[in-house]
Amino acid sequence: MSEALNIMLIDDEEIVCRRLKPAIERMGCVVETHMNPLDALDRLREAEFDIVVTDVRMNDVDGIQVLEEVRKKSARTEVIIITGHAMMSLAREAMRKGAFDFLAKPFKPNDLREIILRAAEKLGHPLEYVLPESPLESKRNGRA
Amino acid sequence: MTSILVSSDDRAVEQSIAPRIAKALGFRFVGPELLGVVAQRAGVAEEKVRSLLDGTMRMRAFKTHHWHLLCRLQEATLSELMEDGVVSTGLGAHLYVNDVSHVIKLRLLSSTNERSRQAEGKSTVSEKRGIGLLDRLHPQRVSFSQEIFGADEQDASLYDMVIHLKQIQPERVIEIIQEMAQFRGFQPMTYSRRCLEDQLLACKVRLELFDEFPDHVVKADGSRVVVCVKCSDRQRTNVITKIKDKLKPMESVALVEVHTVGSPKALSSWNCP
Repeated sequence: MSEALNIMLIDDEEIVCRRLKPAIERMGCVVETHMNPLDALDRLREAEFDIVVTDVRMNDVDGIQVLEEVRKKSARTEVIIITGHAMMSLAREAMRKGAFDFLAKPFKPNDLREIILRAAEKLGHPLEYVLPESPLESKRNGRA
Repeated sequence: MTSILVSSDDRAVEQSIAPRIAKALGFRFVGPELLGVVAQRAGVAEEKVRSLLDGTMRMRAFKTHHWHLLCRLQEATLSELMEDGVVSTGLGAHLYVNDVSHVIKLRLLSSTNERSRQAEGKSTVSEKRGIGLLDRLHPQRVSFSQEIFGADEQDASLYDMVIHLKQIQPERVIEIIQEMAQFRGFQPMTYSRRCLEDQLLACKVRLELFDEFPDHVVKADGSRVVVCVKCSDRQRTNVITKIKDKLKPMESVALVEVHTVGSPKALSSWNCP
């Protein structure tokens, strides 16, 4: 495995991939994006990734199936679920099936970065990246 | 780590078993002593806070200051639950902490005899009398939980696990909970923590609104807060400005959206966009 963390991002919405790819690359990670989950699954069979970030509702294959496939192939790879249709039952199902975390859309890039930092820590590959302060945190610190 | 809300039809059972669960798991115990803290902060007698949960008050008896006090209790309880690894009982949390996947709701059912003895405050109660008493108390409790919290306390689907103590001894209950607390589906995740944060923020916002705008509905979604209040058309612009000015300085609030309706009925049926 190369030094930089290898991350796969799967989402059938182009704008999500377009926004998140550079946001994660800024952490020093190598990011591969796939809008077609079937292509993503083929790629997962060829290569191993440290972290897979996947949407749930996609055509042909949903994110839970991606999670199951990843878990079958590699116990080491951490899977982060992102979805615009978050429900407690779905979140519990994802966690039961081995997801590392579950994040509801919309979210800020920092939200996903924070989870990736924790996943990297768990993988024994901590990242030297400091999360930029959010406007809310600036508001809090300004008050303090 | 998960957190656990223990409730029972028998208060003595809750207060006996919940601390033992906390000890076995190495979790922090948060119990009825929080009622005293809430009472002190509100400047009222502890009995007044306790009476909000004992099922004797009906919705028509709930005035603004009761709702305000209940909101203070909810805020205090939710604040405690922001840290993982809590076992809580005696605060009614099973009725107002909703859809947080890492907070396990456990219901313990005691025997009819035990419940009727406690209800009567006597050491012995005949079975016939006990059943009659509980038949009267049961619908009262159901009505209370439905009217005040919108949840039927006796409905098993409200809970993650229901255990009948007639069949399973307390020691075994603790072992079962220890095992259940390890289940992956009950571990905290960003989504479940956010759900809890949203509920806490909504409580904090409601506390800011009670004095001037007692009739309100609040929803929080991240740092976005949506408020609906009852007011006349003439007051509308002024009310919206006042509420935004009041809430925007709050620590976790980035965006405030205010809607107004003209009647209490419209308020109770309002759906947050």
